[in-house]
Amino acid sequence: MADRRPDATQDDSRAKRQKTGALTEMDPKDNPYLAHMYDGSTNGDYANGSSSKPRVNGFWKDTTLAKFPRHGSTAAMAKKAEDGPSNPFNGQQLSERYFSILKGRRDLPVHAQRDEFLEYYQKSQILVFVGETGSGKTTQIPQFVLFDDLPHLQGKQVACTQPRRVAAMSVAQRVAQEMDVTLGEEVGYSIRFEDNTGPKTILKYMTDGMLLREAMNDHNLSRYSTIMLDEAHERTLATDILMGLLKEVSLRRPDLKIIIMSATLDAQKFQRYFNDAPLLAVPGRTHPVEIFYTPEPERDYVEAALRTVLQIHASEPEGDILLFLTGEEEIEDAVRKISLEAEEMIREADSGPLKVYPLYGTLPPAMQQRIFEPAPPARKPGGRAGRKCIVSTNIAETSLTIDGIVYVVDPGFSKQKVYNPRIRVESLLVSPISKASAQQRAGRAGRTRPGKCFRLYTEGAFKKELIEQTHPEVLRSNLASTVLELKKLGIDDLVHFDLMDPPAPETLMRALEELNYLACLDDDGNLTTLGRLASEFPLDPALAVMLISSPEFYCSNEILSLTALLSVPQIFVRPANNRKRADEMKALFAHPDGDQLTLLNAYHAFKSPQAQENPKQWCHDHFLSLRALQSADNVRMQLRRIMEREELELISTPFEDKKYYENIRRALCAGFFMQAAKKEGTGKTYMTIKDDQSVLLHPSTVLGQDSEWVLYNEFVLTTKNYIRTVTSVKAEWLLDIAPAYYDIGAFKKGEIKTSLMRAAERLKRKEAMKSSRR
Amino acid sequence: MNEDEEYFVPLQDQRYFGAGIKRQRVQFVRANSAEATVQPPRQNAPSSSVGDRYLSIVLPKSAPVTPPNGGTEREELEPANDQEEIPKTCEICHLPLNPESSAESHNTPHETSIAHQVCLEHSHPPSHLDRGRLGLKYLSSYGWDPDSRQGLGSKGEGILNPLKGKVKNDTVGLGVKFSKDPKVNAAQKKPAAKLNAKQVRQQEEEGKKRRARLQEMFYRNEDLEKYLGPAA
Repeated sequence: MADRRPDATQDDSRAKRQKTGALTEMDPKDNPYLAHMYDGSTNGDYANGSSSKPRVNGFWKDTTLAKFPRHGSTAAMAKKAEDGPSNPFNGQQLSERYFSILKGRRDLPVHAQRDEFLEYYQKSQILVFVGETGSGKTTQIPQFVLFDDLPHLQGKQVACTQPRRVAAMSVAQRVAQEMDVTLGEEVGYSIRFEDNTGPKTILKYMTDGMLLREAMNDHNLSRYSTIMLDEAHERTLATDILMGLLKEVSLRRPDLKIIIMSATLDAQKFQRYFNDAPLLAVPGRTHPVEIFYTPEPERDYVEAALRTVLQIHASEPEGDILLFLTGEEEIEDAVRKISLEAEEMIREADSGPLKVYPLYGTLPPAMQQRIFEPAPPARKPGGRAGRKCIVSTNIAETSLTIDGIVYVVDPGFSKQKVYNPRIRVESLLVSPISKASAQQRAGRAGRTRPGKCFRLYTEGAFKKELIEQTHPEVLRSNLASTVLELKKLGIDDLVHFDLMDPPAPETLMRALEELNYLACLDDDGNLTTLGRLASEFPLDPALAVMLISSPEFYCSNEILSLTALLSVPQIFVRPANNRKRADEMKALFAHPDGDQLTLLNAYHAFKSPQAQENPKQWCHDHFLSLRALQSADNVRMQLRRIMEREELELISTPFEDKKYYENIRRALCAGFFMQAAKKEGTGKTYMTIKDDQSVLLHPSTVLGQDSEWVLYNEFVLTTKNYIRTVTSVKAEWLLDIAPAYYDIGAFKKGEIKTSLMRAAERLKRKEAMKSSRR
Repeated sequence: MNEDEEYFVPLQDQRYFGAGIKRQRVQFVRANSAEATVQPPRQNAPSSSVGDRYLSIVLPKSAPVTPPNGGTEREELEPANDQEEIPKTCEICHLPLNPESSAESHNTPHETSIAHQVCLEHSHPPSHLDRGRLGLKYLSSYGWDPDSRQGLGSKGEGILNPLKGKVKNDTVGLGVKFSKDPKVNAAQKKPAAKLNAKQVRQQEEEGKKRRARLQEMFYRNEDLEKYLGPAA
C-alpha cells in the first residue's frame, strides 16, 4: 500500500503540469502564425542538449540581451527588446496574447518610473521600494530586474519572495504568461512541498520560508544575483529573519543586489534598518476614501457590522461591500444572517439583490474564487442595481485584491497569533487591530473609485486604543524552529543578531531549552547530529524529531503519514447543518486510544482501493476533506524523499501484531513529550506537565475519559483551556523515551511526581524481572 | 519610578531607635516662640525652597507684589528674597541649597530631602529569571545580562518581556468601557448561592486543603524531606 501512494501522486503532478502547459498553448492553437511554437515547446529539452542553439548552461543567449550593458541598461533598451518579435529570453516568437498583455503592463503605475527604478537599482546594493497594492510591483519589478541584471548570462537566478504559498504560485503563473514562457521553465516557483522550477529558470517566485531553507545549505545564497523580498511590510517571521541574514550576506557578497518591497509608507523603518538605503516610492492607483466613525462605542460589533452592511445596501449608491470579521464561524454566521435580511429587504423595500460571500484561509480555493464573480444584476430592467458583499478575515486586508469594493466596514478586530513562553502556548486571539491595519483596510475601498470606510468605533478609540503598527510575527511566535534554522545558518550569537525587532529574551530562552530537550542542541547550545538532521525537514522541530526517531519504533511509515496529516488543515469536515452525521462518520475511524490514531485510520481508509475508485464521492460520504487528504499525500511524498535522501528506514510493524498501535503511540512520545498532560484526580480536568495549566479535552476528541496520561498536538486558549488532538500514553514510556525532561527529581511534589515515581518503580521491576529471566 | 516610590521611605521619615526625634521637636517648639513667622516655612526645607524658586521666577525682584491674602503671606516673601541672593544649588537635584537655614532648622540636611533622594540613581531589583536555565546560560555566554534591563539585538533595543495576549470571547465593540457604577455591576453579578450543609462542609474541606498546600509551599524543607521522606 505504501508503495502505491507516491506513484499515484506522481501521476497527479504530471497531469497537473500537462494542464498548465496546455493553458499557455491555448492561444497559439487558434493562431496559425504561431504554429511553430509547438515544435519549440516540445523540443525544448532536446534543444537544450543540441549545440545548434546558442544556449549557455541551458540558458538562451539572445543577441539583443547580450549587447545590453549589465547594470547599465535603460528603459528604452528594455522596451525595444520587449517589443520582439522574438522572446529575448528563449528566442521564440512572441504570441499575440503577449502583446495584448504587454499593452496593459505599460499602463501600470510602476512602468512610468522604470528609468528611475533602474537608476536606483544600478547605483546601490540595497534598495527599498514602496508601491501600494495595484502599482504592479510584484509582477513588473522582477521583470525590470531581469532585463538589467541578465541573470541567464551570468548563470544566476533572480528570486522574489512572497509570504504566502498561493501568492507565489499565482504570481509566477501570471508572470510566465506576461513573459510568454512556460511556467516551470524560465519562470518558476518554489514553495514548501512543491518545487516547480527547472534548469532554465531565471526568475523564481518563492515563499520567504523556502529562501530561508535554501540559505541553510548555501549561506551566501550564491545562486542568486538579485533577491527581492516582497510584501516586507507584513513582517512575517521568515521575512524578518531573511532581512537580518541578507544584511550580513550583503557585506560578504557586494555583487548581490537586494530589493525590499513594501506596500506601506512606514518604509522609512526599512530604510533605517538597511543603513539608510535609498528609497523609491511609486504611487498606487488609489482614490480618496472617506472615513466615518461611530459617535459612541458599539456594544456588539458583530451586530453593528450587520446593521451597517444592510444600511449601506439600503441607502448608498452602487458599489460592493467588504466587511472584516475575525474567524470562520463568525463569518459564516454573518453571511447567513445578511443573506436572510437582504431577502427580506427585497420583499419589503424592493431593494436590489445582495450576494454575500465568505472569505477565509481554510475555505476551498473554488469557493474563494467566487468572490471575484461580478455583482448580481438588477432583478428587472430599470430596477435597483445589485451588489455583492464579501465577509472576510484579514486576508482581504493585504493579500487578496478585489476590484469593485467601494464600501469597507471595519469593526477593528482581527485574530492574531500570540505566544506565551511561560506556559509555552501559541494561540490565536481576537485582538484590536493596529492603526496601520485600519488604514490598510480603509484603502481597500478606494481601488476602483472614491469609497467610504465605516469604522465601528469612535475616533477617540482609534487614536487611543489602537497601537501604531501590528507587532511583527517574530515577537508573537514560538521560535524553536527559527532558532534551529539560525543555528543551521551558522548564526550562534543570537543575542546580537541584527533583527529589525529582536524578540523577548524569555522567548528565545524557551526555544533554546525546547531544542535542548529534543536533543537538537547539546547542553552548550551546539547543534547536534539530530538537530542538523531535523533542520533538513521543513517541519516543526518536535515533528521532525518524531519522524527521525520513528524507525526505532518500527513504524516510520505510519509516523510519516501522521506527520503529513498533522501538517495539513483538518481532514474531518463538520458542516453546521449536518454535525450529527459527520460525527457518526468520524466514529467509524475512531480509535479508543486517541485522535492521532483516528487520523491515521481515516488516511488508511482513504488509501484503500475501495475509496480510491471514486475518492471525491468517498470523501463526501465520509465527511472528509479530499483537498486536505490530497495535500497530506503530497506532503507525505515530499517528506518521504527527504527521509530516503537521509537514509532513514521506512518500516512498519505488521498490522496483525498487537504492538502495532502501541509502537505508534510510543513514537509519538519521542516528539511530543513536552506536550503532555496528566489527569487530575477523578475529575475531567487535566494538568499540563511542567507548565501546570489546568485543561480540558477538546469536545472533538474520540478519547475516553479514562486515560491518565495524554499527549496533545494543540493547546486552544479560550475561556476554558482545551487540548486538541490527544492520544493516551503511559508514564513509563515518557520516562523511558525522554529521561532528561522527565527527571523526577526536578518535579515539585504533587500528583504528577507521585505518578511518575510509581511508573519508574514499575519500570525498575520490569527490568529486574527481565534480567532475572535471563 | 512609580514602583520605587511604593517602598521608598525618605530618610527624614525613617524613625530609628534613639534618634531622639521627640527631643528635636521640643527644641523646635522652643525656638518657635522667638521667630514665629519665619520658622514654619523653613521647617520643611525642600518644599519651601521650591516655592521660593517659583516665586522668584514669577515675581519681579524690585517690586514685591502683595498677594491678595496679605498678612502672613507677605511676611513669608521676605525671606524668599533674601535666599535668592545666595544662589547655591545642589548638583544632584538642582535645588537651591540653604546652608544657614538647614543648619539652623534642626537636623534635616539637604541630602535627606525627598526631592534629593528621588534624583539619586537607584539600583534596580534583579530580573526574575531562573539563573539555572539553560537558555539563560546560552544568552549570557554571548554577553546578555539579565539584570541590565536591556533587550536583545545589535544595540540591545529588543523588547524586555514577551507580548501578552488577552482572551476575548465576547463581541463587545472596541472602546466600550464597563461602567463602574455599582448598580450596573450588581445587576450583572449572580445572586449569592444558597448552600446546603454538605456543600458548606465541602467548602470547608477545600479551604483546609488550600491552607495546607500554602503552608507546605512556604515551609517545606528540601533537606528534611531527603532524610525523613516527603511526609516531613
